[in-house]
Amino acid sequence: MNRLYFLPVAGHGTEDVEALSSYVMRIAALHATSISILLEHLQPQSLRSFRTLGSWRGLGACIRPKSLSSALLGALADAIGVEVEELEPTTLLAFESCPASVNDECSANPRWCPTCFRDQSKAGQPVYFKLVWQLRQTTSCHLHKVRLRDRCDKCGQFPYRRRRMLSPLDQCGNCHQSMNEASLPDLSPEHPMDNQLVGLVGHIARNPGVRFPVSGVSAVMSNLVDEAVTTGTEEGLYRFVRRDDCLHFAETNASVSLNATLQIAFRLRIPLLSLLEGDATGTTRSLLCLHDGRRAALLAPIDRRCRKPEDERRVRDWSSQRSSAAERSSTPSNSASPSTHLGVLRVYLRVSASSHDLVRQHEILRSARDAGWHVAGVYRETAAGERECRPELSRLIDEMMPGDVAMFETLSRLRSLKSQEADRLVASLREKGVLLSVPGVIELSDFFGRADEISMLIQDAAQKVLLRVLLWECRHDSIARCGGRRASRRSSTPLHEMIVELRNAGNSISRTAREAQCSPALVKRVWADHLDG
Amino acid sequence: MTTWIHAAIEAIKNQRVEHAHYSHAVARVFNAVAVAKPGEVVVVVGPSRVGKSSAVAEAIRLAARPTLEMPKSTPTVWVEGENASTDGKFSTKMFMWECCKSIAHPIYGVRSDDDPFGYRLEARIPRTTEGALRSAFEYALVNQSTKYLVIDEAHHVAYSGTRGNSAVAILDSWKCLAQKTGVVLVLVGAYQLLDIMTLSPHLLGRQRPIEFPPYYEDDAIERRAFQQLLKTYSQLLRFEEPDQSLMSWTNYIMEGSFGCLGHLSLWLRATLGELLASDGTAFSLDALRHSQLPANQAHAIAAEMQRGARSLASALEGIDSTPTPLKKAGSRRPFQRATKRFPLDGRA
Repeated sequence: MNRLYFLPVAGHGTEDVEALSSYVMRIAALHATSISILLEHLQPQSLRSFRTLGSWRGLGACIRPKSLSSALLGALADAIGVEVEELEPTTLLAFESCPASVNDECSANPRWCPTCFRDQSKAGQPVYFKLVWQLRQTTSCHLHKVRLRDRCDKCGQFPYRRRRMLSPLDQCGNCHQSMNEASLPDLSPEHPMDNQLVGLVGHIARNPGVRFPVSGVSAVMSNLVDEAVTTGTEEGLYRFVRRDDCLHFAETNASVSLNATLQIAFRLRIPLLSLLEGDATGTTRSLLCLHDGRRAALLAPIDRRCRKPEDERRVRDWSSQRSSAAERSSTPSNSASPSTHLGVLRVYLRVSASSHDLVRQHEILRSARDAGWHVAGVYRETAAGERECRPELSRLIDEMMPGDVAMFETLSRLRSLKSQEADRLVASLREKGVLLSVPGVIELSDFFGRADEISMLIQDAAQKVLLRVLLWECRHDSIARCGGRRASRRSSTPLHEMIVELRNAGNSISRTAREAQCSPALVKRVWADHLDG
Repeated sequence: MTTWIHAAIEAIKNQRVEHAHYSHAVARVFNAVAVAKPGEVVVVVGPSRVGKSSAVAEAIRLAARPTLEMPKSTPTVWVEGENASTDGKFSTKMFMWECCKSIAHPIYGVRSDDDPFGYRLEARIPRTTEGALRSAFEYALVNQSTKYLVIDEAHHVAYSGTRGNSAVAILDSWKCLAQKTGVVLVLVGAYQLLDIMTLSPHLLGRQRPIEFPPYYEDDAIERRAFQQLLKTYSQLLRFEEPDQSLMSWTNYIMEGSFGCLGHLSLWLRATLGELLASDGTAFSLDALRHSQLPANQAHAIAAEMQRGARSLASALEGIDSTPTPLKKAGSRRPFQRATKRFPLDGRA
């Protein structure tokens, strides 16, 4: 095979290492050819298997730990004349034998940080996509704390669909505008696991050919469960990770997604790398020590679903022990720990162009962080009004973990839900044991995490009331929409009467709209309502 | 008896004959290339078959040879400006493909191992735009740190397109390519190249033409140099008389070969071929006359050389000899009748 021209991998050996999809794109541009022709040149015999990679959407899959990625990597290394190990850090092949599957954790579309693009352009470096950006769990750039993009800020379209062959990577293929300027506000939450992911990619980049063991996570989890059973402290463990999950992950061949691994690492305070390599014995031992005063600092949200009647007594014992330990402890760190980390919060917002709303959303997020919540996700819905499809709400429901708190900006954001949707939302909230919070209505900061009976009773009662109010609001609104009985939508204004008169006089819709100085759509609606009686 | 003829033909074919004009041309081209900055143009012109390509090849080989500072030889790309399109036209896309082949571009220039007949490569070219081929060539030039780009038979750009100035546009684009990629562009062609370049002031400012002239009869020094050349060839031949040699017919041979080594070599080989066909045993003047070019062809070649020499002289002396465009651009639309003034008497 004819040797392709060599192109060094950008960010080689660092956590900023380039993704293979980006590298293939740059190699194609260096040879002034398209990706499909390059792939045809690389492996004509198995072109059929490479055909899916011919576009950017398909090419995004080549970083996944699959046989197709290995084949592409081998063919590319052979064509360029370098060792496979030199290119391997551009993929997630380190997970090849590990059940912590990352196949679903890779973003379908390439994602980028506009500020990084700007810095790369200014420094005269090649513009490229980093591997860590392509992980779905990475929400923001670890350097600039800027929300990652997968669509052009200017035109809102996927920028590589109609991209010219030789145009730079930071230029939108639709509007041909530069993508290295952030034109939308960046309200990205700073997730502590972002740094874990950056460390993971850095580890892969610095150790070409590394493979995570098959039973890394399960080894840690089985150790945990064994210790808990031996010492009779299962309840303590189940407060962090659900019992079913503990038993499932402790199996040797259990399939553990990267997302679940991240959640375990976060809840148990184990470094992600150690968890994947199955080397966290020391950490787990300290976690299971109930009488350790440091336990208060590792407080995690309570999963109420796991609590069973027979366990109530042990829970109360544990609570009293913890309270007494906290009282006995006089160190400031111990007393301050619960307030420094209250729990995991997921915020649902409606994106609006109004600057007032933006300020309010900023304020909500800031006050939540100040109160000690860890904001794990911000879900922004655009044009949520009457739309049936709410992808961000669905994502929120899917990503909620037991013990999380879901904060809605106002209840009005949910009022227009259909009653079935509202039922589904409430059912999933109840099923996962997720608490609902609405700023100004129900604030959980005061009693969340407290193990005393009164706080828990208040919390439960408040949640029940809130969910019932939510259901009632949605049903009432739905009925009002169907029957047209809603007071705010009655068509009895002088304008509507004028429209009816004009139409009765034989005027056309457009003429009526001109005369009444309103839109033709309103004329049609009012006239239809009038005809319906 | 005829073995010497076979040996002579092979020797004339393969022997590199050093002669005065050749050495001078090599030295001039070498120095011009050595002093040129990246992006500049060196133009070598001369009559057909005078030895321009050989001289430029040797000069470039000398300039690109490894030195103490640069242990590796300087990358050089040699492209032939072939008019290989329909009806013998010069196609810029095909030229760019030739460039990619010359530089052995991995995608567009070389067929892969599993495509021995190059079918896939040929099928790829119609799907590729000329701009992509050019970009591929430019990237490859930069990637390989190419220093010299030689375009032989550059006067074939005159066969491009239907408009008069398309050849000039192509030359200008080559100049831009050289500037963009930082290579020294060496254009080699017949005198016709000078006429095209005259229309491009941008290119004129970046080059100095170097002529590889033929040997002229009326110059005593050149005549002696040409006789040396004839003496070299005479040693390969057997004549009817022992005291005979090619130098005996110097005037006739200079006139018939136009003072060009290529024409002389071809003429001698043709004569030897005729000798083989007629079972001749010795070289003679009659045999030379028998294989001489037809008069009309010789006249055409001589006229072209005279025109070129005149063009070069005017260029060097600063005389404005701007030729008219090769074809005037049409001002009428298709199927529109040309305006015609009818004579007064012819009106109905």
